[in-house]
Amino acid sequence: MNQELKGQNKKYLLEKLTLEERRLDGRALFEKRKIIVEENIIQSCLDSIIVQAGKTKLIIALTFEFSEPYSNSPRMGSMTTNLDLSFFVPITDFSKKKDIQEKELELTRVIDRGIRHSNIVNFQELCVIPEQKCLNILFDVTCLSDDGGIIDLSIYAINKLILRINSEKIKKYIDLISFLPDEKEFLLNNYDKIFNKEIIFGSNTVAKVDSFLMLDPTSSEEADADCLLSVSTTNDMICSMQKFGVGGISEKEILTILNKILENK
Amino acid sequence: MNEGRSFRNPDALRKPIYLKLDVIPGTDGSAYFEIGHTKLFVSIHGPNVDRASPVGKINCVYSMAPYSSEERIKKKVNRRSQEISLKIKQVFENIILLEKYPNSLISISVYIISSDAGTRVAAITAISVALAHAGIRMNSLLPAISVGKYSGKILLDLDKFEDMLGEADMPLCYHPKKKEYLLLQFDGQMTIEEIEKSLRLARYGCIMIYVLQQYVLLKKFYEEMGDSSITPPIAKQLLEKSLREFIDAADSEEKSIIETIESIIKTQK
Repeated sequence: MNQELKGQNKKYLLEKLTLEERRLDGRALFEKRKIIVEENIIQSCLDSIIVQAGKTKLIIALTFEFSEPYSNSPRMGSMTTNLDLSFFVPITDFSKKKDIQEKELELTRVIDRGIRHSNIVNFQELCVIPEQKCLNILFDVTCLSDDGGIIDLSIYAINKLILRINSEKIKKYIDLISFLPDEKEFLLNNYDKIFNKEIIFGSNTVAKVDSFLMLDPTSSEEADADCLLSVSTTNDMICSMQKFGVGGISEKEILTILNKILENK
Repeated sequence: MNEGRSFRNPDALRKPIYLKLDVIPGTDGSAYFEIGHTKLFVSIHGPNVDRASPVGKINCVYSMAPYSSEERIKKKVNRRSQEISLKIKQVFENIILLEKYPNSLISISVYIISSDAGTRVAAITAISVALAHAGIRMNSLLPAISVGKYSGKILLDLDKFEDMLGEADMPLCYHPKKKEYLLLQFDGQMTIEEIEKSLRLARYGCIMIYVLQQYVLLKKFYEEMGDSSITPPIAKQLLEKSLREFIDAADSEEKSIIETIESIIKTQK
């Protein structure tokens, strides 16, 4: 988007916010987009879903693999989060490709940290044989269409996948994948210890546009924003935060955002 | 590695704290910074001509020496280092007056030689003074520090032990004139009240770092002018004056900051 057009968009947005306290898509400042969920679509995964909020659409897949533990955590398993945003970018558009790669990297790290610090994964329970074998949990997020809110939607979907794990899904999965006998046994006996399902875990992103704060911004609102703040929460605790974008954010704004997010949970 | 805070107050910076300019020959600006056992070099090249970019551009590479940590760093570039490079670049896009550098590229390199937590914030602190010394126009110096929670207590400037075994870690950088945070990352578990306390503590830590940055630049400026009159008492007066202009610290904080200024100035070689 060229600078002139971007400036016009921002002007319309600010007019609408000032006059009607509504956003360009008609939402109130702290109103989230409705999330639509499609059921299991990929057979080779333990579980997978397609989620959509507005025009943002993601596929999220959960798979397991066994590997050697890291040397600094020989009695723990591991977790890997991957995010692929390149699906909708033309291969020939190299300049855009670099921006996408940077965005992909930052979002992946934030999603990964959000999950990790929520304590929803019991890493100690992923150890099969100390120093020899552990379970690695893999969350793969593929973005089919990006209209903002990728972090929040990914975390929503990952949470959903975690809550849906049951013995039936595990049995089906181990029949399908060529796990070794001890690995199959481990999964059957331990699947319900891997995740802390009682933790209520979520993420919310707020955009700051001039003096306005907006929950769940679209990509056009993200582009108009001075900065964004993504916040992951568990029950009444904050478990990760990341500020995006070049602009700054004051202490008062940070605390307003945190209070609003916890109120709206 | 320090085991807990038995020798340091919750609001104290690690020691030694030492910042030096002009340490790498052949660069346009450079700095060495150590805070506790975290030690790093920063180099600045540019502004150099880059016809491809009509507005000024920044490039940043953050890397760690293989020997910088107890566990050998195997890959020079990994997801973590790429993310830190990106965050540093974004922070300085706000600070450098890029419109003054059309068709130009400013390259920032950070090399961590010893890692004891807080490397990204230490890098931002050092880059800021190295850029100023390279004559790059900016709207402010940028102090940065980390805060966190260890054993239920909110602490300033975590070391590796506190970072690894603690409940939360929050690296921040603070724009002293705009009173805004330009870097804000947080991992761990905290309540809103603890986050509020952490932000206050971070601001306090950033003020101290900011004073150090100003002192080091003033000292260098006087040295380059062939004037050695910037003795610690004079430097202290200058810094206190500039500090009061825009920091609305509480009285107790101000007293503590001034005491810290004295102690920091004494340790600069």
